[in-house]
Amino acid sequence: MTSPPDQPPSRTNWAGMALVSPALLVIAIFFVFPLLASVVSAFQAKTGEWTLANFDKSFELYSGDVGYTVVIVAISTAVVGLLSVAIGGYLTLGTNPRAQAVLRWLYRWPLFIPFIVAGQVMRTFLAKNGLLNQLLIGSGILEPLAAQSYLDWRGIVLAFVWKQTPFVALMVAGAMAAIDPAHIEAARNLGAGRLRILFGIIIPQIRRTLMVGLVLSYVTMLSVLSVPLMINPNSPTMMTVDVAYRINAHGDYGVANALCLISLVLASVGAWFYLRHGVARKGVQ
Amino acid sequence: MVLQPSKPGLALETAGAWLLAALWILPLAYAFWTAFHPAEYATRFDLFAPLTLQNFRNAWEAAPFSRYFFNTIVLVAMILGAQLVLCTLAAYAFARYAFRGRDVMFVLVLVQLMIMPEVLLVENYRTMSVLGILDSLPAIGLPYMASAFGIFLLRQTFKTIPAELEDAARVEGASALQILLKVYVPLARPVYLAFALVSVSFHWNNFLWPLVVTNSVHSRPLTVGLQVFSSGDQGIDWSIITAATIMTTAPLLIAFLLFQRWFVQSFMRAGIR
Repeated sequence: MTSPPDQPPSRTNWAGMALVSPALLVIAIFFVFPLLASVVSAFQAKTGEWTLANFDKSFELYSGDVGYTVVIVAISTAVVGLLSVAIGGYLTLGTNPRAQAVLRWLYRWPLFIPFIVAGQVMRTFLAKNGLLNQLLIGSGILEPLAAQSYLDWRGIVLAFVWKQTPFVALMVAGAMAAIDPAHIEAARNLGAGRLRILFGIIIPQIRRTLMVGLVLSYVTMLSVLSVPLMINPNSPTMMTVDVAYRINAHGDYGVANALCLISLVLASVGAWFYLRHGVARKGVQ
Repeated sequence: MVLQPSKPGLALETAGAWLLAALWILPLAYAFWTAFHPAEYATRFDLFAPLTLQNFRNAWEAAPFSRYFFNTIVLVAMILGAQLVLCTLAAYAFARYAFRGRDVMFVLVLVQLMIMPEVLLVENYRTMSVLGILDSLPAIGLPYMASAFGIFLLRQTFKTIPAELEDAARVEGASALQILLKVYVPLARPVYLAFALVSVSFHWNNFLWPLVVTNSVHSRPLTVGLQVFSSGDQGIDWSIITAATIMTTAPLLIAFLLFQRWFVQSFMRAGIR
């Protein structure tokens, strides 16, 4: 199917502008203006003069949380990537159709669970008296007195991985399913094992999809408030909790905006990858 | 010659797949178990434990869930309705019209995808305050009504529709709006369904912005209402907490079962969030 030319001769400039303008108005009011205003506010004191004091205060109070956030999101992204490749790989190359069908049906469920519910579920699952400890104690792996709460960075990582892996795995499995089976068959006929096929044939072909999925997950996890709020709101915690605290407890919009901008810089690295590898690939003009 | 993995290797791999599937569903299965059994069975697995709906009754009485459900349904319907109109018009223009600044505007739309909502939180809160609509459903919905994802997805779909169909409709005397409604929209119906599912799922689950912009029962959606169960006031009664959690997410899980194929296609189609 070929794409038609962009502009039939009868089309006028104003008609296109008129069709786009309602959406652009909303974007201008609720995206462009607030984005510019929050940048300005981060560099302004309450008296109105230009300053870097909000950033100084942010780093003085929350530099630990910035590092904590980066580490948690980086670990989560890496684990999400590994699990997504494992799930996608098994769905593509697995040999037990029943196990494939069950895994295919089950792994998607967390996709439709809100982050706040994922946080809530993990809070009950990972608490000192939660199911995980009960299972470990019941199976003799853990002494009852040695039971400990996992409601710290480990809980946040587990919640992120549980919630985000299905999203990336779905994209990865879809990309793997779209690979020409002849490539895989040819490799098999030449004697390649399945691990070799996965790492030598399949992953190089779905690398971009994997990268786009991981970048979107990375940016999403950076901006989630509910999971750290539910699992570990005490210091050290994630930057989203700090932003909510500066606004709700102190009405300190300057520092809140400075923290948001720091988050934005962290996310921009991901955005750069996304725009370079994802959108560009789709032929956006 | 095709090399087959050894039998122990196959068994190990299959066991790994089963284990991964079981582990994945375990937190959710645990939530269901706890919600449907008395509190004393919350951390004790007993096949013959009595079933109960009392936890759901207690959760329902602990917070005004009927109001939260009503607010959430009105909110997602309002946002989706506005998105379908605004995104369709904008996508049609981006796909089929050439006008000054089109490409710059389209990039501006796309950049939205990568900006975290928290960056806009403070200033959007001020805007809602100036508009005098704080603590209302329109305040929650307004910033999302021109979905970048919706515009992008529909624009890509409209670009694949053959121009001959449009030409034929124009020869028949159809206006631009009629062409959009009678040619483009019907042909993009599966994409609309996919987008609708993603939009409803996202806004049903949204938490941060509604938390900031609402402060009363009259406008709070379910996710914000659920937060009350994380506070000390409710104690730590896992049974009630999980019952409330399941009530909140049940409509989405049922929708997932009913529309699973479209849900999956929608996520596969564009590689989006």
